[in-house]
Amino acid sequence: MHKRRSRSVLFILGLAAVAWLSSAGAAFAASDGSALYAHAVEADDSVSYSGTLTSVVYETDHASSTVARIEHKAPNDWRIWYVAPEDAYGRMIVSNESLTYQYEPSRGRVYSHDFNQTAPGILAPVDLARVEANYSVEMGPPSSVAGRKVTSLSLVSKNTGSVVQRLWVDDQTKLILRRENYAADGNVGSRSSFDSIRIGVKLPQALFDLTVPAGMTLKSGTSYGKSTTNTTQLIKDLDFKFAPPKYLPNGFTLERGSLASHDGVNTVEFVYGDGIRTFSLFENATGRLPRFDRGEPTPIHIGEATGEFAEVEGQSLASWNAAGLNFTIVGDLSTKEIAKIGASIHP
Amino acid sequence: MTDYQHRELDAVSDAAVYEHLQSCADCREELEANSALTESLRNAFATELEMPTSILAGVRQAVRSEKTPVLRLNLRALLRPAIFAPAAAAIVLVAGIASYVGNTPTNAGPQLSTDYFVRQHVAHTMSSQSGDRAWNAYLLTSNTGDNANAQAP
Repeated sequence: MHKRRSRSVLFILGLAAVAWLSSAGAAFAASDGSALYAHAVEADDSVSYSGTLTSVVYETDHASSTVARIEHKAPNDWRIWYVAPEDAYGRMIVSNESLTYQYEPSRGRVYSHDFNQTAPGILAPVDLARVEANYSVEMGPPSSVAGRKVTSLSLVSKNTGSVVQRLWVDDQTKLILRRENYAADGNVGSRSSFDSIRIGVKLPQALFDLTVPAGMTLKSGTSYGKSTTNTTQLIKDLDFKFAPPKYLPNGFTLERGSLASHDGVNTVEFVYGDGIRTFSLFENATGRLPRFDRGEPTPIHIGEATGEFAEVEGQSLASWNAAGLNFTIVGDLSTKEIAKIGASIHP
Repeated sequence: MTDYQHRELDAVSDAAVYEHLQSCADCREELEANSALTESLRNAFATELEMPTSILAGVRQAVRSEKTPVLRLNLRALLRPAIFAPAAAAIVLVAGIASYVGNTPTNAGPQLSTDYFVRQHVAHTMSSQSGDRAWNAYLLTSNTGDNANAQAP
């Protein structure tokens, strides 16, 4: 009897110890995960490499895949050569993260892109404080990618409890070797993974020279609106009255805006984010829904209006009209979130 | 587990299952097996299968031969004055109301495409040079058009 009681006590003590150890372990794993994440998002600033990356973007009814050979000389030089799909074979991108040349040998053209103006996210450091405020970074079991030992990280939203992104981080260099982004419905929205990689290769600087070979012509690439954080001035400069959303999902804030003119239409774009997820709100004075080139749209109710919704390139897209304006939301959002944001806009 | 995998659970249950998975190797293994199966099915159905042209031709032929008389009969029925006159009046009335209400989409102005909005969004939110979106075709300039500002490939 005494022995049995002793065993029971030992068993309870054991359970308590296991519970304490696992809670302590979880806390350790979470803080460790955040530290590893902080290293991972900056690793390519200091690690040069050469490898083959396969990316897949899933849409409602199909998936599109790209295979590219990437040569990266830290901190800012990139050379990306497309292997697949077939119609992209031979395309080459050379970039210093500010100016980018897109070589199209089949047309004898080089297109110049100034992503420094349009894509500030490339140069801006990841806002770790915001990521930590909105996400818990959970470490997973060790595994391997492209023959290298990695540790997986899951970014779990503190607001919804959903896994939004998973990263596989190289144990030695902290480079992100595999990444999965999850759509708002929980399915994988896109995935990229190195099939092979060589770390620390010595790459000659000449590989990254922005030059135009003989026989090719330099042209300006597709233009995008210049991004600014001075959104107050941007709103003042508009030729129509911007209507802001009164509701944003938990953790989301306004990050920046831009104004672009396309086909004679001035469209303002405001980008909102929570550190990982983003969405853009577009407004213009056309009062006309966009043409759905890809994806079959379905009706969506936004407040009193009825708009159209589709998944395009792994992004949720909804568009509706009100008071002579057209509103379009694109991003990592569920239809419920889009409807709620849209209904809070009162033009 | 299936509900968890397909994001059918509410936030509290979802978080509870997630927490359990962190400490239960068996369940984790089961989840991974299910995910692998789902992925295999997704990949299997990702490939579009085409029907033999002979079958397609047969189906088209059958549809054509059946549809014509039905369509003609329906048109005749619709053109009877008792149906046509009220229907025409209703159409005129609806068109008048639609042009009066300002919120109704019009076809007069320029129309942007969804591709345009997605490209702008991707350009303004990409954060990594090697990320899956960074060199996405949406950001690049068309390889087929002469206009540098044409649609991306």
